[in-house]
Amino acid sequence: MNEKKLIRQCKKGKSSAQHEVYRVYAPRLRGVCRRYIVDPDEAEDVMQEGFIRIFSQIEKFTWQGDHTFFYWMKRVMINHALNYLKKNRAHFHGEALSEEHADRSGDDNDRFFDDNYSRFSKEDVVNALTEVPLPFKMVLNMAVIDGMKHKEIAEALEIAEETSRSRLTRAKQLLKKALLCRAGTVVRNA
Amino acid sequence: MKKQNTDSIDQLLSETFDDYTVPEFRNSWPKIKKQVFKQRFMKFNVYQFNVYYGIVAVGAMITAGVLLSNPFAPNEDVPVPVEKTEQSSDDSIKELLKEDLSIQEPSAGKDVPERADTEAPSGVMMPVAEDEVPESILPEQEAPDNADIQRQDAPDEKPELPIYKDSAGIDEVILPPLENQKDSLGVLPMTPLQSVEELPEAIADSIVSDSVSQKVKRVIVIEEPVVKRDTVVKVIRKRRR
Repeated sequence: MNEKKLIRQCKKGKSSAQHEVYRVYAPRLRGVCRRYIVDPDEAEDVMQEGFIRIFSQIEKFTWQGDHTFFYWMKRVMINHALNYLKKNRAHFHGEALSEEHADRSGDDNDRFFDDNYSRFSKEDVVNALTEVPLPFKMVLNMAVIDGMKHKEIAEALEIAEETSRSRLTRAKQLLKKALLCRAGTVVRNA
Repeated sequence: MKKQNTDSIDQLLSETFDDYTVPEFRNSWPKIKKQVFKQRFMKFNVYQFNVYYGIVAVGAMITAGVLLSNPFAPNEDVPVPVEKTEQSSDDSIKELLKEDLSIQEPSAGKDVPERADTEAPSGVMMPVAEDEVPESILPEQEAPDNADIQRQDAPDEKPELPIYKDSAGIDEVILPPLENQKDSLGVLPMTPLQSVEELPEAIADSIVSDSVSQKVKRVIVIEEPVVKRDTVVKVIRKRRR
């Protein structure tokens, strides 16, 4: 069914159209939730509530071309996941992690990673991302995968823009280290 | 070098998560559907049935039920005072009393005539002596207050005074007690000391002529009949020769 027509019917509250939207977009939106929330059950609950919010706010959406509907839904889902994390994670604003997780390995790991990153599978990346602490992972998700600017990230996470930038840098280092650990080829500083 | 590092990790992440999907491991759609329906039902929408329309529909059904059951309708078993009072108009009482008096001859020797038929046709009031009223009627069916009935339904114009004829051919004016008719006799001189000469001539002549020609043989005082439903249950008469 045409996406525009599907949206129009969803605005009218047609259950069949809503089911079609769920059937088409749920797997990708579930993936979005899983990037932010590691636990599968929690991620599923968040996605469920996110869809309820999408269908209740769909009247506000204006179709402006292909993919706009998915990006709008994705943004609703991300905001809902962040709200969920704010409510349920005590260490959502964990600033103390910055020193603890500082990677001192430096350029050696970077060089090795750049030469071999194509070897890592998608599954390796997904699993390595789960090992990154939440404050860094959120910034990495929002900045790199979801394409948000640091200003938006700072507003969403209620942090300074500079903090967002530093967290992004550290998040990348941590992800790289996690990938190299999985591959068993971490170069450690002496 | 740093730039290349950033690009490589960004590229890796983009390749991994651009079309990243997670298969369904539990069916969430029934819960979503239920919650969405509930939300839409609680929210007002002109084009969709919601809780507000439901309240209006229930209210309309209750109102219709109340109106159809009609609990405020007047009970047909209870007589309406207005209708009964109209039936006991002066004309009907006059006719009945006239008929009653014409049957009773003074030679019968009884002050109160016997009357076996106390049943009146529907809507007709029959005078009944006090001693003829069955005991089963009087205590149980207490007559409404006459003053109340008259207060509610009294016509604006003054009632005509009844005039009856005795069977012997002698006119008898049967009136309620005089003190109750002060209003109707307002145009006449009421003080006994007032002489006829003080009245206009025509009126004085008529009064004199009438007073001479009428020979009152007996006076019957009838008090107001007490009306209960279709039956006159109490009539008190006094006769004097």
